[in-house]
Amino acid sequence: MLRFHLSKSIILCFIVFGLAKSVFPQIQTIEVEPRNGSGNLEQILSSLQDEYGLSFFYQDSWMPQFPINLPRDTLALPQFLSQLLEPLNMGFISYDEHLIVVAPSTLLDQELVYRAPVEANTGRRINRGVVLGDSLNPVQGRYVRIEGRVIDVTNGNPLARAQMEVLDKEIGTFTDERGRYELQVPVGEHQIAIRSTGFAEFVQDVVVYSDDQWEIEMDLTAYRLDEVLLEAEATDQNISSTNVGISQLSMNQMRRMPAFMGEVDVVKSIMMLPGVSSVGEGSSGFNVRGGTIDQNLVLQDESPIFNTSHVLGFFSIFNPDLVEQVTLYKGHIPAQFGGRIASVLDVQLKEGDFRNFSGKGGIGAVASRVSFEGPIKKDQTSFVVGLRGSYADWVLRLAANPDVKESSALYYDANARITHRFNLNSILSLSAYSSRDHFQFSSDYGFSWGTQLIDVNWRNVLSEKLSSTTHAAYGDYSSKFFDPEGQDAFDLEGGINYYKVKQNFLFAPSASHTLNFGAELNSYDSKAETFSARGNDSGVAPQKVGKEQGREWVAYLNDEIALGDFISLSLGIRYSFYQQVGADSVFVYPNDQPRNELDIQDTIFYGSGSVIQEYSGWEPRAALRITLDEKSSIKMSYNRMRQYIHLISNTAAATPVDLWQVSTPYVPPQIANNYSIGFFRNFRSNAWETSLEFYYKDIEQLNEYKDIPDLLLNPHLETELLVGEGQIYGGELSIRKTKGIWTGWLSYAYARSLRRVRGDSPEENINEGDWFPSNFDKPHQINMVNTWQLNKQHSLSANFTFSTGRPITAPIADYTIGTHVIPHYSERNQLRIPDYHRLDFSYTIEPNIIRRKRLKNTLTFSVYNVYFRKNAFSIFFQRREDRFIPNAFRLAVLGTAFPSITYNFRF
Amino acid sequence: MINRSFIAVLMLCILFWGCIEEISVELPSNEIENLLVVDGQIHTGPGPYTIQLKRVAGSGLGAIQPVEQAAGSVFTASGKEEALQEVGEGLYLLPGNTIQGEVGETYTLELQIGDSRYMSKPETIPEPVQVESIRWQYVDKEFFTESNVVTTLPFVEIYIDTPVPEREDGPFFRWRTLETYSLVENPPPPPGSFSRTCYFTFPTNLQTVSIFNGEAFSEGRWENQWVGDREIDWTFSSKHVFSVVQYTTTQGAYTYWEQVQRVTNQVGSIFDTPPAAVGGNMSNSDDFAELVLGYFEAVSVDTIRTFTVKSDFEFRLAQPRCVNLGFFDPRQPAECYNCLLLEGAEVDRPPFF
Repeated sequence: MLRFHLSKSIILCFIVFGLAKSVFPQIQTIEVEPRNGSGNLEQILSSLQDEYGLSFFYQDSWMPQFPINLPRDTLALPQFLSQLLEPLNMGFISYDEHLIVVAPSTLLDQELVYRAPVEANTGRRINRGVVLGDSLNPVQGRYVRIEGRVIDVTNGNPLARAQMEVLDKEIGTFTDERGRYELQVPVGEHQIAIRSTGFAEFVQDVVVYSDDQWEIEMDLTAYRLDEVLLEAEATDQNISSTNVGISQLSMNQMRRMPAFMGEVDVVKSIMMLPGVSSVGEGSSGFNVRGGTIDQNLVLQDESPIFNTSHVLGFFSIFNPDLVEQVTLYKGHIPAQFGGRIASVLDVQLKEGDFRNFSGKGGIGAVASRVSFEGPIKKDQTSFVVGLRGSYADWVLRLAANPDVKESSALYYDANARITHRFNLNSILSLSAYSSRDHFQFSSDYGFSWGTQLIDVNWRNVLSEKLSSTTHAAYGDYSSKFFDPEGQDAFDLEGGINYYKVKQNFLFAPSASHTLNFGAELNSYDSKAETFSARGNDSGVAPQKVGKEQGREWVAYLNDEIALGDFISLSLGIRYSFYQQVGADSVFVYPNDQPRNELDIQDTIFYGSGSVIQEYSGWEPRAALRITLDEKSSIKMSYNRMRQYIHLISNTAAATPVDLWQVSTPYVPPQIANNYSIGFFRNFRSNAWETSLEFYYKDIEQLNEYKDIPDLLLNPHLETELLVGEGQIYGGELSIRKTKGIWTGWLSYAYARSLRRVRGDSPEENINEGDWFPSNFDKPHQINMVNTWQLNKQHSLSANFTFSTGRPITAPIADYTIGTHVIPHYSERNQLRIPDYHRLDFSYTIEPNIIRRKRLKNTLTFSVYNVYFRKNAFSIFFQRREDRFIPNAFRLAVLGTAFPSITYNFRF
Repeated sequence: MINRSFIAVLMLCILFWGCIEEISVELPSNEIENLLVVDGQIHTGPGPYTIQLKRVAGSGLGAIQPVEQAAGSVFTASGKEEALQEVGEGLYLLPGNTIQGEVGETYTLELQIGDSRYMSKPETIPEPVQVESIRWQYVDKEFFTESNVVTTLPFVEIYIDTPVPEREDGPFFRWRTLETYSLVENPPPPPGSFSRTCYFTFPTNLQTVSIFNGEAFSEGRWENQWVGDREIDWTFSSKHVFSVVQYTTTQGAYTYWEQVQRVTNQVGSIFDTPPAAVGGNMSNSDDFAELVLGYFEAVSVDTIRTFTVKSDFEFRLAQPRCVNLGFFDPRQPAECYNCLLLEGAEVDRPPFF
């Protein structure tokens, strides 16, 4: 057996002095048959020498000693060698038809190195030739640790919760919130798949010699070329993660969903998820598993949002171009989240691009938007700004009715963020957000409301295993209800201020064990309701009703650990301590009778900062995942949650002037125990995901209202409130297709939301103390989301939704007082409006999606409510002047089809 | 005031995009018990004062039954008491011989119906507030027809101005508007024989509850309060009187009427306060859980009037109901020769007409 040993200098001689020349055509004629088994590189080269009469030149130290997989096809010799050597970051040069030099690629003249033709794109990106560690000193006898970050190559932003899987081994991990990961792998060749929501699956061949760092850049544009999938989660994450009742949506998914008036909308999109609904078309907020809208914690980059609506709920306040990812926790909620008892909607906005300037925008029928991002200092400081505004008034001008012509529905929102990387381990970002709505009906009435938000976020890697995130935010929500003209013109203003400070630590002793722990302070300062004259002609008497302030301190610990391959646990504990603080006055009522302002016995005054009321409690969280096999798992969770701030709203849908009320001696915290269990199974290489989940939730100290309460400008608000209990249960079946030309999901949810108020007196009972359905009780809900990626430029989407009509209270008798015929109503929520269903279509064209084009356009045609369904927004009863018995009427707000065109661009 | 805004918001949706259709709905089948309805008032005008007692057991006129053979009385904080007299089906009178409506006096109604005893919460008649001025104005109002076409109809709207004195509570107002008009019969054959004039008095805007809370107002005068409207038709072909009654009422009664206003103005929107049964100020002394509907109200009263004449609307009047051709015309409606055939006709001329 011939063995040739070359020194580095000899190779250089070949290259520098032109001694080398490529003679690939000559060796191209040699066909290498597939062969069984494997060996190390030196053994393989030796066998080739023997079979084909070749002479290989190399140094012993270049030869890896681990086994190498052989190509399985018959290949020409150059292709065979290329497939063999490229993963090892090596190459070859043929000097003549027999003499071949094999060496590390870095030592070879790249122009002479043979390269195999690029493999046709098959829907996933396969990169070759990443060598990790020191090839000259490969580790023996232990696993190698690979660590680093996964980032978006387009802007350098870390990708959280990206999944990494070593394909030939049962090894995998997820990146943390900073995009960091750690993998323990054996020395040798591997294929590592990286998957992240919104990106195409990315597979990388690697050769691992020893411990090393590897920063993985995922390319969004590659996704745009190849992507035909709508993925709510990384492939098989539904099986492998401990989370039950979690859903993720990327903006790419939302953009393809048909949208009302073509406006891509975060809140409306999540309503297509099982268990998420609203009380009616154009209503503010959303209901998760039968909860009220204030039981959802809505976070925009960790900062709470108190009103998510534009135009009273027809649109939401999140600028879709700036949203990175949306996560909805509706089952298991890790201990780092809290303060609400139904769900957490975590909306993460993107950071500015650290490398390139770019922009995005869209022009729609009623609103347009534009955003820019780019580096202030390359790779160190970036910015992103976005602005969105409506011009819906021109649509109103088309109306025949003069009152509508004079009406107005305008809004804007603006985002800005600066992010600075002190180094790879320390990143500081400063964000600001502002939104405003103005809604006026003719010269009669109007609303305006808005949110101002500023927050600072500092992420710090303290050591290899410990990182810290410090977040501080200040927010202001203000609302105004006004009558613009006349002697009774008025402004009624209210809202809430808050600040939040949160310190979170992430400790990851191993890839299978992470600990989140930290502390949080939320301070709520509800604004006084201020009623004042508007304009010089107004004669209304000013009024001011003070509102309360509260502080919520929290400490938490959440431990996620994998116990072997089959069991993983998420155990959390959260302790919340709440204080209502002065200055305020508290009315004292007799204990043995319903609270009535006429029975006030005393008034206790508290000075500024003094404690009025305290509440506290533990909030254990636990989730368990048992993997049955690689395709199926069972998950279960228990969560106890406490809520100290409540939206006082006695209308089915929230309005901008509803009151945010902190807990007081008369408004105790709401407490929920939430139990979930689910079975998850994937089919056909995770192309199909199915799940069946059941849940039960009991709620203590739920806010309810007396009949026809007087909530606004009421200094004795507690006299209108009742305390009850809630019971919510149901099941959700979901079938999701994540790969292929057609993707989407079909879900069915059965959900009941019941309440009971049993007081000591008839006045403190609702429906005689029996269970009754809440306003959000919609037992049956079916959602179907379909997207067909017809080709790279054309996609078609169709969504269908069905839900049981919501409960209402109906008249069951009439009587007269004087000349007035007065309806007598049934017990609460004994009737339902008709069932709701709707079909929407959208068709998206991306004419210049070619990757290297600077300007990329998208045109979306959508039709909302395709078959003109006159869904009942409500049922109401009115008596005609000539009749005694009232008639039932169905009001359909969007009772026709709404076509729209939206033009989106990015550059 | 605040609730109307939500209706307006809803109207925006309705007018631009929406549609309203009458549908058939199966109402809850659970029958209600016979609920007692008390409709009584004592006021600063001369007696007698009326109190109606009914029971309601469902929807429709047939479900309302008068309460007969009830015993009851009204007594005052100053120690007076007077019994009710049953004068008709469910209609009871307080003669006003012993008890009359006096400002500052407190009144309580007590009823004995079968084995049950009912009591009202005490009501004190507040100081009256006199309406300062009244006026009418002509307006063309736009309506959507069933085929969604805009049509214009002529209307008269009535407005008042009233002082709003500073008080510890209130003042609280409720308004009721009545119209009075006449119809002159055509002379029956032979020509020259006697023809009568009938007078008709009806409340306008039957379902509208007009109320005002002076606590939310700092100016001393409340102007341009709309209190009613009326489509212009044949009744305006002669004098047409509008009488506006201003009740200065108690906070309890104001709250009751505000709740009535909310449940009768329901448009079923998600911005409506969910409706509920409206309880009044009566209760069963032996069973506080029993819901008693209606209200026993103690109010002070002031009335102000305005009128229109034919010449005010010459340009908009429709065809008169009866045309005196000087001879009997069988094509004319029967009431043109006998006005008493019309509902509510009175031949006694009201003193203010």
